[in-house]
Amino acid sequence: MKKHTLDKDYIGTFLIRNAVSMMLLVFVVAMIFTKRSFFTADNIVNIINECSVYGVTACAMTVAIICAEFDLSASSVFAWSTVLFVICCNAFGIVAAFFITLASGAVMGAFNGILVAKVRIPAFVATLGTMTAIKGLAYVVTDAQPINTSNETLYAIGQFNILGITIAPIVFALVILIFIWFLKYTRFGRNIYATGGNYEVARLSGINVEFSKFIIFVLLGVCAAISGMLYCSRIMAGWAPYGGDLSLYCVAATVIGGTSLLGGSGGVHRTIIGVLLMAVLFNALTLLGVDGSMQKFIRGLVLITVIMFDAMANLRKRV
Amino acid sequence: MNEFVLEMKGITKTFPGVVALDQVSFSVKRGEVHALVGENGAGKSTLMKILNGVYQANHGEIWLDGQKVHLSNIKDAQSKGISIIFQEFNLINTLSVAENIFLGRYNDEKLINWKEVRTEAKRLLESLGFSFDVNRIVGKLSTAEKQLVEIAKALSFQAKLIVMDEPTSSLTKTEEEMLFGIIRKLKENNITTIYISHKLEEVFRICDTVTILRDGKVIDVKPVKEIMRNEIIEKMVGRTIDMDYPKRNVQFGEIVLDIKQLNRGRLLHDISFQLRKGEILGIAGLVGSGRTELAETLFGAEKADSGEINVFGKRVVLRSTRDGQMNSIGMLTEDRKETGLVLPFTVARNITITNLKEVTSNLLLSGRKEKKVAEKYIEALNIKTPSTNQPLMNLSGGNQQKVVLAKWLFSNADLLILDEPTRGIDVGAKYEFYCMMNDLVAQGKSIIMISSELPEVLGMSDRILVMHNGMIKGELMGLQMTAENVMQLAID
Amino acid sequence: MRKLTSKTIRNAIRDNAIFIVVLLLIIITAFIEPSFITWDNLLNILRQNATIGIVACGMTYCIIAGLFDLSVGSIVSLSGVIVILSINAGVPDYLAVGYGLLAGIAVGVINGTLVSLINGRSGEAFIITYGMQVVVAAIALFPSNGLFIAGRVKPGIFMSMGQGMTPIIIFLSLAAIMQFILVKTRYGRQLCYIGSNISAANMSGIRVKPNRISYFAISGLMSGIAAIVLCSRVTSSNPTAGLGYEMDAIAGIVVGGTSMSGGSGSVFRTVLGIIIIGIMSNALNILGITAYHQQVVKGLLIIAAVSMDIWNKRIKVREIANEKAYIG
Repeated sequence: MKKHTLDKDYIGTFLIRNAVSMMLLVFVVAMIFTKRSFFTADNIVNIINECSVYGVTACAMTVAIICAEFDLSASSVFAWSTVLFVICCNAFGIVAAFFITLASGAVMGAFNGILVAKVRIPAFVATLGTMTAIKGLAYVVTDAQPINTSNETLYAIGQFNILGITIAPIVFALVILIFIWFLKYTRFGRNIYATGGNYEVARLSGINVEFSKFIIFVLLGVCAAISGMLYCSRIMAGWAPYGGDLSLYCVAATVIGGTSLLGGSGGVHRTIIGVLLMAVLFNALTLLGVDGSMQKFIRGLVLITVIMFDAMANLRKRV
Repeated sequence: MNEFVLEMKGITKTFPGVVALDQVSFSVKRGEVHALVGENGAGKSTLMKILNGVYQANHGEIWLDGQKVHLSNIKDAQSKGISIIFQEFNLINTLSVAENIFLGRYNDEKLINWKEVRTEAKRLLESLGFSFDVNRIVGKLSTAEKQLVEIAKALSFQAKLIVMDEPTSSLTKTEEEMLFGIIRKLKENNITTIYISHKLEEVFRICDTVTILRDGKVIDVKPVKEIMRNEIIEKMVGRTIDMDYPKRNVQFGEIVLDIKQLNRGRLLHDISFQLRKGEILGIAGLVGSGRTELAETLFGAEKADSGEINVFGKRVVLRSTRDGQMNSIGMLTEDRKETGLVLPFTVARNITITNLKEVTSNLLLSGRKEKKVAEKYIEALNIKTPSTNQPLMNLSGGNQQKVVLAKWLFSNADLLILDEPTRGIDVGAKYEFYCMMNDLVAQGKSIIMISSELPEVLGMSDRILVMHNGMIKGELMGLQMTAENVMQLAID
Repeated sequence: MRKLTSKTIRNAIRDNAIFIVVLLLIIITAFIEPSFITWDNLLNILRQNATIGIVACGMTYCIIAGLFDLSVGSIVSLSGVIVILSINAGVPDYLAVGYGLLAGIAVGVINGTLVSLINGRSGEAFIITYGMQVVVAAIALFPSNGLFIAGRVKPGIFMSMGQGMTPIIIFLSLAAIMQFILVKTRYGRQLCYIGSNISAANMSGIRVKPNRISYFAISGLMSGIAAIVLCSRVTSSNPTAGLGYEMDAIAGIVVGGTSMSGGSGSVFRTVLGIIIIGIMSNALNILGITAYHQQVVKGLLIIAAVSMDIWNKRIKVREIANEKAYIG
């Protein structure tokens, strides 16, 4: 049998697909050597703590992208979850709040799932609508004010740390492991790959493609809720503007990690790299004194660049 | 055990206006390699789709292993031991070999045991005589390797009967040998193969029996040893030409198209020919011989790598379809629904799109002019539609095709490339179409007609070029233009 | 004239369902609060929605062409900043306006080029313009560090663009021109063709790439014009002026009845959609429903309208006799 490993085409596609991550890697190495405060234990711990909060949602976004969809409403569900969680903590205590928030994330995700899987609205339009509505909901319920909580248990959880590592990285690690296991060893996970790889072939092979397209949004809703709650544990507050461009961040992290927007390939383990690289990049920028709006600029630029490279790599494949 | 693993008795299948299969009886002995041959349109694909459960026959019965069965869908057929390997594989390119073989079949277990899956996949491949890394991603495999995966997949379903549709169309000689080896191995294991192919040489090499279909009927069934190649061809194509092709008497003019050594990647090699004014040049060949690719290159939809294209004596470079149009070339595409028409648009708007300048007055589109143009072509081409404002999707296929033709006539193209122009059209409309073609060349236009329907190519062309594997295999003129000659050149 | 069968009536209702629902809402509000239906109030609504209306008109071209432009809001912000900065720097009015428009067109061209490079359809256009939105919004913040820039504006062309009835006139005239171009010119016809079936358009001799870039350019241009009208009215520039514009524009387009899948639509419908949403917002305000509630409504409205559109299409497809094309 012919071995197709190192031909020119393959190298070219490899380079294009991993261009952005390689550039970022170079940048990171440069930072390590030029800025002393960058490579300290404190800073590294800081990076890990912060990126873990968003990393949980990034994992779920990866699953959605493997199924050839994406979800813009993640940032709104995040914001909503912070608000709901804080309100419920104050009203019912942390345990009830946890379950209620988780459930609400699942329900919102399910709504998205029905729109995309059953009604067949293109994901980007459907989630655009839900993003607006849910954000609005968060504003309405809080009257645009931040809500604080002084729940002691929550505070304790937020302050908990082992050598500086807070609960977030632990949750992140757990979520990663669960997803890796889910995607590799369960048929639901494999069906998601199949559905994203080729909807028709998957369908003809008897796979429940509608369910796959549905469940990924539920997962996103739940993970966005978890991310929101993790965030609350440090901030001890809930507010509608939170979450910013979380969806953009998660999509970028996924694609940087090497999962293609076309679907059917990639994995959560790759997204870890994407999340870390993004976190490191923006940490570095902050240390370099780059201001907020410039950082936003770079975020947008990274997304566009990453999408373009991914699309170009895909174009090459289709000879 | 029954001698026959499959017996299809008296199968009749009709579609609106067409009888695709007429009382077809098709029997395959256990363990044999049975060839199914016939032209495009003979009914092979329809018959196999019925076997696969995709279509339901209007009349007739299917017996498997001596038991009457009903095949309701693909999964049903698969579970009864029938697997079909189509030319466009049913594989997911982003997944591994092992995973594709067991696609969607983890329902019995809670968790996937990859070791088991991989071992089993490896075993299946080894039973075919190949040792293979089952972790490789299918998208990176060669066509031959993908075929292997499909066959392994069929085996994993305990297939009794494997149908291969044009399996060697993209294989190298070595890979073909490999495939034949596999088929022999399957035979050893009492697995039956139905082999659909145009390549008669292969039929003689590997098959035991051959069934010849023509126009939806079985013409003959014979052991391969008892029949000759020429007889097969004769039976495949021999027919009384029912249709009287309209005659014409046109003087040929100067050379309007001069192609010299056109090359395009792996698709076209060294194409050279000329076209005269008033000529209808037929291009025949099997599916995949490069005819459509040639058309695309001549129109500008794709750019040639090297070679010369001369239109009306002037050398041109065609980088886009606009370039093609500017050089008076028009192209009727193979698939009118996908690339020929905008179905939600009206008849009038589909026609005028190629030459909007003509229906503008003072830089504005004139509804009145558009209507007039549409009416003119509706009359000229006898397009059956209640009004010029009828959305195109309401029209029948034949009338839709006429609209496409009207569109290019309106563009004042002098050189028309027609790719399968009468596909999916009833006999009456076909005749009208041919008359129109005659009128066009009488007016001084020139036509290149690509068609898989031999009678039409023979009946309408002044000259025929036969393509094979991206090259022009031969040119036929005058009395040489016979079905047998065309087939001989088109088939390997 | 088509016969007024029950089928055509049913189709008409389905095509305009959202429209009808919102209309009902407005009628109900009018009963509750009569001052709502005064001429003054309605003119005011029109004036307030003029800028978003202009943006929506531009985006309509993109949507009909089967594309998206989510960067319109940021373009509005950027153009505004550029215009005011130019005026403050002493540049004559017409040049300042020119610079603002140029900025909008430039961003549009970049959008179009990026999308064309990857032969993108609506999904790619969506996400690329989404990224562009972030980038351009950030650029708009640079010059002033996020603060308002007061404009040293003298009476003149620029000043007059935002006063009185002018915004309304600009909005409606632009809409009329765009609709006219869409329906009556070759360019517009090709746009519909491209949006409906891009492969067929390509095979019909239409130069698809340059055309598509132009749609983005127009969208950018319209955003620029909207920015100028906006800045002129408030004689200052808000670097986040256009925040959320893309959502409002999409809402207007979708409520107006233009299909998100492209190929058909009308600027006229978009105008109606924008006006209806504007009136609805006003009505909701009168009913005591605040801006944030309205945001929820807007999001749900988009979902409802798109769902209706898809449902409609499915019914239409089923109603047409299926012709089986077979290959024997």
